[in-house]
Amino acid sequence: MTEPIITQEQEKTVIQPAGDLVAANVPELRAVLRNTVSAGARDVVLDLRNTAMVDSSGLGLVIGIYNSLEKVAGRLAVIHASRDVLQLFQTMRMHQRFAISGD
Amino acid sequence: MNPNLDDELIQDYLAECLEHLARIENDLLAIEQAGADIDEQIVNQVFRAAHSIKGGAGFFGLNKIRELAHKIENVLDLIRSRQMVPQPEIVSMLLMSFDKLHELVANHRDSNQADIAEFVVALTNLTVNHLEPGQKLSVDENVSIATPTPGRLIQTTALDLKLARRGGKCIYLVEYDLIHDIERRGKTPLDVFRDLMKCGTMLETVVDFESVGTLEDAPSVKLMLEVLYATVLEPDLISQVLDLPGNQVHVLQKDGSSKPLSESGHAPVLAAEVLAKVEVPAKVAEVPATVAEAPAKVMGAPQTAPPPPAKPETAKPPVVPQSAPEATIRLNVSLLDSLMTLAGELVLSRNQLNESLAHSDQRGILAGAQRVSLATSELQAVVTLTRMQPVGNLFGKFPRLVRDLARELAKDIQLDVEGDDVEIDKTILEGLSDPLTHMMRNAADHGIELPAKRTAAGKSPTGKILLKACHQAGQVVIEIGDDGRGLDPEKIAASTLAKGLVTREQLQGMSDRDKIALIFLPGVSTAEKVTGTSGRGVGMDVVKTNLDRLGGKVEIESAPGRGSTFRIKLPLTLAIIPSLLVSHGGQRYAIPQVNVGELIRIPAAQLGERVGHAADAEVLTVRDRLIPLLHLAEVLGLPGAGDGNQAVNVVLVNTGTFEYGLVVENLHDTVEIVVKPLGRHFKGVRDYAGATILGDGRVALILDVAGLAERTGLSSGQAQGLSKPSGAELESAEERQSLLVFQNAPSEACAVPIELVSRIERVRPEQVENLAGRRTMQYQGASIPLVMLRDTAAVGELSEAQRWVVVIFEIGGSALGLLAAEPLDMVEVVLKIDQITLRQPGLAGSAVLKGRTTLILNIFELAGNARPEWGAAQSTPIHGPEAACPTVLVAEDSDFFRGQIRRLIEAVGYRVLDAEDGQAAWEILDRHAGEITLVATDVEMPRMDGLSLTRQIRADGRFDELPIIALSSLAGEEEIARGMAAGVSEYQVKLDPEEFVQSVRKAVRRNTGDLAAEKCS
Repeated sequence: MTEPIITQEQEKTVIQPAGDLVAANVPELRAVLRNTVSAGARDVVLDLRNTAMVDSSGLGLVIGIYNSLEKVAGRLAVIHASRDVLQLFQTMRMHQRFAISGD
Repeated sequence: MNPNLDDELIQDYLAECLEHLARIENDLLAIEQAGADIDEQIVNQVFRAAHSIKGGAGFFGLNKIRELAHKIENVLDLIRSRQMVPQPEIVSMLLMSFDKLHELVANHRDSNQADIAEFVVALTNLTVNHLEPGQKLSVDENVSIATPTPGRLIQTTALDLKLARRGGKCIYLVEYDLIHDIERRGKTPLDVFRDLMKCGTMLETVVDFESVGTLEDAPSVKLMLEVLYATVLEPDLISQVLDLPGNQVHVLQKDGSSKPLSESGHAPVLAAEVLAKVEVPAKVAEVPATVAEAPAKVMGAPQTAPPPPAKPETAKPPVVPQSAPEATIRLNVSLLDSLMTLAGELVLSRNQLNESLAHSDQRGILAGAQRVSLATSELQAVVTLTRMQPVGNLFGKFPRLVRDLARELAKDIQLDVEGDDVEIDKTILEGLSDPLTHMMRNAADHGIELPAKRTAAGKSPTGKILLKACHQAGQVVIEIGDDGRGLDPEKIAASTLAKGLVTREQLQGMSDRDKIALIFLPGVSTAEKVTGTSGRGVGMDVVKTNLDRLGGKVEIESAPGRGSTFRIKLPLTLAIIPSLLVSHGGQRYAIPQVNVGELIRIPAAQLGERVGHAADAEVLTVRDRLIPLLHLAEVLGLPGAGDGNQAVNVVLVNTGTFEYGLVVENLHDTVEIVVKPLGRHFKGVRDYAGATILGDGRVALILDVAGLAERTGLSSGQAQGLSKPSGAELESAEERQSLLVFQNAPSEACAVPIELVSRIERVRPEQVENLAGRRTMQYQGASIPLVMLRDTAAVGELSEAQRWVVVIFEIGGSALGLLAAEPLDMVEVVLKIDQITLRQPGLAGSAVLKGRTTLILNIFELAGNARPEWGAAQSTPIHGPEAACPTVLVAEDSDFFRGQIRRLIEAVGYRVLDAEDGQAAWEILDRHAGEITLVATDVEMPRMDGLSLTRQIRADGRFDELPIIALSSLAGEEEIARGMAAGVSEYQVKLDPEEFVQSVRKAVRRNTGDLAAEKCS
């Protein structure tokens, strides 16, 4: 998978994965995000406009991001989630932990 | 949803539904019986049945089934929580609803189009009327449910839970490891959730965020997700649908605790272990009880741990296409194992045989054949076992039937069932359903009386019906007994007569048992009026036919006022039956052994003696019974029927209703045959019941003895009409006389009592000699006088074209021949002689026999004409004092017999006084006390019968020494004993003239001395 696009909008670090959050891509993304957070990003926005599918590993990654940010009093938001992804997150009650918005 | 949800699953579901439904009926009846004092176990059982039907229905999208089951469940819930007393009306409604449910399940494909509005409304009304108002739950009552992971809670509100449980849903706590359970199986969580949402609601989910760790940690191999899931799926279906091991699925109980489906594997075992409890959040902590109780109040009494679903741990039913659910059978695995073992045994034996054959090893072949034979018979036994089903499967439906009938007919009926576990071939069991139902209906409808009537008859108001099955001599016997009014043979006889199914003559020869058996004739109904329950077209004849098909026999025992018992005897199995092989023209036929009564070989010499004709049919005399004969070759239209001069083999076959003799060319062995049904193109053929393959590989047809008889027009009525009543049967029969019927001139039928006839000889006209104005013929080396009816009466003349016979009588010790012509016949009737219309010398009168006016001869008058000196004895006035001449008092109600007896006695020269009944005889005796030398009395007479007369005579004191001869056609040992007890001196069978005359003479001599006896002669 191509590198995720990371943009800085004022305080927010917007990370836009280039594809699905699935087991095959997770390790790579995981490394990128770990670096981002450890580099001091506190307000992380996950832009899922190119993501059609999130599998269990993907969910694990998102939860991992959340857990890391929570430790450092940061904040996670998910934007541009596809309908499926939105439904998944809602079903799993993720929206009770962080902000999620659809397209 | 699990994509593997194919037909297999729905078949399992349907089979289970039907099983539930089969049990429900009796449970409901038990509930009704218990009334307000409910047996929770049973109510729960029914409730769960409805519940699981509903659950599966929802899952498979069978909405009408689900809706109906749901409504039923609501009612049951109220009963369970004791808010509703299961009164008969309510149980009736439930029964009807379950019936409908049964119907829907049976036609599950069309069930969604079915109309169940009526039931839904009725059931809803039942529930609404019983619901207490104000049972609400607040939204802020929170409930925390502990997950199996210690310390983790899922929070939801009591209201949500309550809502989720609506419609009888179950709530499960499902644990998913997203990585292990989903990702490794190539699915995404979303796929799984969507499937879940298709057949239920995900109430709450909790992701174990902590277990994931941060980005710094190593990627976790576990991502636990807890789902609180409400669904209609039953515990035994859920784990298959979820495709999760049972220990990850927990059933949430109504008290808030949860139980894992199973510790391991997919088998649903509901362990009673409680893993978690309701934990009440602080806010409501002060009133924990309300939370725990609230759902209970609404949903019913706290549910005790449900016993595991009753499933045989051994085998699951094999899966078959739904179109024929009854084509499945549940088998014990051990039975299958033994089948397998035997099959293996067969294979080994075959190998051994092959080996021996290859080496032409004679001993080996023999040994191999023996092994094959052994294994085969064992295999047969075991395979037969697999077809055996307990009759309880069938009996189970009767309590309901009887209950409904009892209600409908306003009767009080108790049904006792015995022998539920007796096993019988499945095919027979299925075939029994209709006949048994019909007979149970009859028992309840016609048998059991109304309570008031029963009380009046001194019986308990509750009628009892006993349905019983047992093994007896290799057969299964099923009895349906009631203690009702019993069958009235006369009523049945009258009804069959009115319908023209039997003739009066036929009836007269019948015993009560025969008359009762008439109810098996088509078109006979024992019901005086057609009710909703009986007389709807299915008669006992259909019952009989059905039972015949099954190789069964039915017997009836009935005592008026005390009840009746129908006894059905059935073979254990139909597939393999012992049969007698017979053959004609090289073609072999099998007759099922159950139909074979006996085998008779009639030597050529006895043919004329034992085979006769009656009513245009050939009949065979077997121990005083006349049995109709059929020739197999004739019936089947085979060439080469016997020429009538050879010995014949007769198989006495029994169709269940009657017996007849089947004449066959050759008799062979009895073998066990395997019945193969005839093809569809032979559907209409009633002559054969099937076919079989014999040991030599050739085909033999199995004869349907009832079908054969039917085709030749032989019916039970006719056969019974032909049978001479045996001694026991005579008791109830009216007095009958046997007459020899012959012809005088063509179309002039004449008859004479057969007792008077000593022989019949064929004679050619030229053998008759006319000498000295007398007609004579040579007979046994002497001349005997011949008479013709024409000698005394104005009748036609014998023509030479007729076949002449001479009927020889022995009168007064000498022979007398009567010229007559064929055809000859013998009839047995109650004789009613018209003594006016055709009375002439030599003719006693006329009677109607078999629809023809027949002249009844007075052979004494004829004899008097031929031998005037013999006749003179009768006409010569008696001289001298009356007392000096022996006088016989004859009491006989039949004018004909009285005349005959008078002639016989007068022929020996005694005086006769006659009376037409016992009363008249007594009056005469009383008046002529000193004159009477002897009394000859009939037994059966109006006003006063012969025995009463005898008792009266003996009681008088004047007539202690008076000889009394009783004459009766009732000559059983018992009859004779009764006669002797009453005081008769001699008991004679009516009427052997020689013997009678002898007796009269002896008696008179003893009483008066030879002198007086000689005086008058």
